[in-house]
Amino acid sequence: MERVVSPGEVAGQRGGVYGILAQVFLKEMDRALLRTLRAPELASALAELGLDPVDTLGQAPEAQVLEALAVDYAGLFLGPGPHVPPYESVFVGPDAGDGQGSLCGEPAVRMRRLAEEEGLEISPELTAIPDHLAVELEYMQRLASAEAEQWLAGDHAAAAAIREKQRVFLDEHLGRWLPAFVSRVAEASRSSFYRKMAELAGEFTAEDRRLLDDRRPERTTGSDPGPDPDGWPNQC
Amino acid sequence: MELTRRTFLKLGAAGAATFAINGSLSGAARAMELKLGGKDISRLTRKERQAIPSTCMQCVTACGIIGYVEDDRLVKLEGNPEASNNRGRMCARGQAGVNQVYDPDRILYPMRRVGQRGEGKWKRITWDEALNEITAKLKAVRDGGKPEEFVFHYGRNRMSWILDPFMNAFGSASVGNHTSICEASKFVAQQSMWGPYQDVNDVANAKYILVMGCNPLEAHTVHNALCQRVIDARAAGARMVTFDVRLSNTAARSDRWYPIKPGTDGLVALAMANVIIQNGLYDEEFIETWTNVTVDELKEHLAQFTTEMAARESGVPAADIEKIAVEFATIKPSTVISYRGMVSHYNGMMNERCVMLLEAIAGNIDVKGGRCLKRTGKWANPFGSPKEAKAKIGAVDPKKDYPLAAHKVAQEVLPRIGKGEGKVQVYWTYCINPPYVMPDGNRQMEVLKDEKAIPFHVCSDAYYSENAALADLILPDATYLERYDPETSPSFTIVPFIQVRQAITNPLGESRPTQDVLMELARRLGIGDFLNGIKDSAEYLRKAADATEGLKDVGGWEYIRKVGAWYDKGKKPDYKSYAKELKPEDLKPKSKDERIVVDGKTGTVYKLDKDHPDKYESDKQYVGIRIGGKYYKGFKPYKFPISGKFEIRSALMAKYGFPELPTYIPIPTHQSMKPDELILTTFKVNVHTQSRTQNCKWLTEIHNDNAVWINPVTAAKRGVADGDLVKVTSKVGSMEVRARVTEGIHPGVVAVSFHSGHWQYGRYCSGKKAPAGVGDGEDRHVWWKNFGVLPNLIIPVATDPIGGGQAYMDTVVTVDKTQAGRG
Ligand code: SF4
Repeated sequence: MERVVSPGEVAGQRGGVYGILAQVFLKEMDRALLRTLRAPELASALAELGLDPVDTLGQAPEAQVLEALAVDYAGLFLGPGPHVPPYESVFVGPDAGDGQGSLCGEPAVRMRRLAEEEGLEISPELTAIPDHLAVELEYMQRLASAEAEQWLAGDHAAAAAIREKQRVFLDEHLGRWLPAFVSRVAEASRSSFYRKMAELAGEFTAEDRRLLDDRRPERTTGSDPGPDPDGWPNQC
Repeated sequence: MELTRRTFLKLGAAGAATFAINGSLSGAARAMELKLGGKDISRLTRKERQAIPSTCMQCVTACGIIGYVEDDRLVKLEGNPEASNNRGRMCARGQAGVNQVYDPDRILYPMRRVGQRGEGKWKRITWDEALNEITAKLKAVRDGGKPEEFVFHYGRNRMSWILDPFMNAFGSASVGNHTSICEASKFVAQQSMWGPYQDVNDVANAKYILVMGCNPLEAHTVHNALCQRVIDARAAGARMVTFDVRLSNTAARSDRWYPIKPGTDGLVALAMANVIIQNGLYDEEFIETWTNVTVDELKEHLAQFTTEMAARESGVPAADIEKIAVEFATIKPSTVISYRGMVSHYNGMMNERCVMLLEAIAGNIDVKGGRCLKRTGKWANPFGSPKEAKAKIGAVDPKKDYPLAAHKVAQEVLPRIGKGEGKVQVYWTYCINPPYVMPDGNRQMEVLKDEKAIPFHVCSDAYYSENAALADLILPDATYLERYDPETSPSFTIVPFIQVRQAITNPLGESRPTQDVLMELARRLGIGDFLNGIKDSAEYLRKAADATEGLKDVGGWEYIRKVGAWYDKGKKPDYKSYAKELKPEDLKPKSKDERIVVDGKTGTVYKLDKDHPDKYESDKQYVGIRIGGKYYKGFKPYKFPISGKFEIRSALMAKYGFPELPTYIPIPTHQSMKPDELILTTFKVNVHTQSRTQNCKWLTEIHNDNAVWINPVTAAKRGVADGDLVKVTSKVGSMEVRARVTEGIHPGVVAVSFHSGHWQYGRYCSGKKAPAGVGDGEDRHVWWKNFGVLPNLIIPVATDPIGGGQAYMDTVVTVDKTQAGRG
């Protein structure tokens, strides 16, 4: 039976996807994340997306799976290895193009400023550079969640403003380099897990960008505008 | 589309619960965290750039630089006008230093290998894990009572201030270096004659400059400082004559260029000396007073080196040798700049002795415009001094085969370890890349791969070098722009200076200066007493600056961290420093078990003490020299206990069965060459430094490929046209490379630069994001498609038996057009 999903819920769910992706790319997988991914709820949702963690990660003992993933992660995202540096600056900027720029370019500075404008700062423990993929994904997660809160609080103008921010961010940052990054990972990856997660990130972000363009309910009163048959998924 | 929003959002629904902002995922690191109160940061405000002075390390010159920092990012490097050697100027390499920090293939985390050594599989570990592992290994080495089985092998080392006490405190003298693959033979020659190694050609004041086997306008030790003064001198009308097998840009900008046969420069210098002596153009006062030979002895010895003989061997016409000799002795001041092209030979050490002789008889030693002793600044050292370690394995210092190789024999370290000359438990490499920079790289690699010979290999590197690829543990080093060192360099103003190297930006990622790593290890190993409680390199430098003579009077650290360099502004060049008279108190014993004595024959004044009770055997005993009843500073020995005079006749050489007077030693392998054989030499280009700049994109865009230079006559005999692919074969290997057919090379020689042909070191060097090679050919932004060849792979290990230097310029090869090159 169909259940109607409100914009607030949608925003929350979108944030959820970004949250998962951010965790996956932030660092090597740990036991807790592995268990979460393998837990039935997430596993079945991932399976529907063709990324059954049970399949992809195999049935080997946890320690073995984690070790193999750590080696893949290092080779892909830290180097030495096939190495696809997960930084916007490497893909975008005056000195870049197709994964050939340098670290810590202008995008890194802009990313840090954007975070600061939201009252956020890059965790001091995070030794990655600010324009790391995980940071950009988490930034989207936080914006989407903030949007959800505004819908629920009934401030539709504020929610719309945050949607705009997300749209701009995808256009000016994440969306500009993620497709190239994904295709690089696809070429390079020994492991189907990171390759699939990267593809998932690419497809989801592209789809999310379309979603953010969709005509949105314009009501300015009421707690939640309710379903919009044109633009919103209406069942779950 | 197969994946609908619905399926995505279903994941989101599951994810939202698990990965909420105040997430319940325990222990999960979060990329951001809410900062209460937030910073008020305007998007419109442009922060001002900070300017931080420091010291370049793209080559060994140590130019003073200024780094411009914006938003915590280094955006630009410029020369520091306060630095007296480079006077605000920089070369291209230096400016591209920015690329070193932000190389996308830089190693930012400690990595431990998984799988086989060299397989290319790695895993990130924490610094704590890395340090625990190293500490445990080193503890075991020490506890086993054989500290020398810990071998530290460095290349560009500007951190001896911490490495030396660390190794001494540890108890191992098994320290390898890289001097012998550069200029060790030159250094040994100088030490055998005037004490210290390194010279400073005071070209700024010279009127006549001879260049022998080097290329100061493009590359040199202390390159920028020398280069700009050569240009000044030329602008002021100085003449310049260059002997080089190749028409370098220095040769091209000289008045005359002689494509000399490799390894005969020393003979030409002897023939010139002969001309000068025969014509009475010598500096009699210097020879008779300050050297240990007489004019008559020299006359007799040099008579055999006629210009005709030199012409036959070297190819330089006899009349020209004569003419240049007369000019050299009469257009004063004059000096000879000599370097690797002349000393990287079997007879390299002797060649330098010949040139030193030529400079001496022309009266150029330590005079204005001549060949000067080096003046370097002195920093205070806030560390304690642990007792000097003596224990070492034979492989790092094969004195038994090379008794005079005071700078060791780097090219033989790994081959000798491979042969079992000393057991190794831990091999730590720092800023060195043996598979790439050493001769016979394949042999070097075999040993690095051999886990019996080298059970544990720690590599400190910021990049995935060919050496790092064969390590067990990679420690991500900070670049030179992210660290602290006390710096100085031989001064071209003849007034010593000091410079600061300070972090312009913080180390990226988890990279950490090796200096700080060694300090931490000293503490963990319980050998850190010498640290005197100093916790890191930044604190060391602060304390050093505040205690340094002269600097402390103008503000110490506060001064130098802002200005970047310091020298005594009131000090004038003290030419002829050897002729300074000693003060009476210099001749008094410093303690009651010391005695000062004078050697009646040589005039050497030296002290006898507990360690050296009956004879003069160590440079540390030297006090001065007595000449005609007066006491002078003389030529202060370094390592070799020489007399204090300029030793043209060397008892030291004689002691080990080498010729005591400068002479000509023909290169054995060149005496039996077949008609189709050629000599391979190598050279540097003006935008790269040895092996460590090719990851700088700005530089590699300019120079990424190399070709073998070959004379048209030589090429025609082989049917080779410009651009053809040829095969160059030596006794240890062969390489295929494009031919560059040019008149600018000696017909018996082929030459190739040695900055190309990396097979690791990231995308800009090798086109591969090593080691998997993915993206090869796909990296559209790396528009260059060829990455050149590395001649070192076909150059055999060949050591100058006296100086210990690698004879890079002696390799006998054949050159043939390849199948592919035909048609
Ligand atoms: S000469 Fe050497 S130290 Fe000076 S700027 Fe060039 S690379 Fe740097």
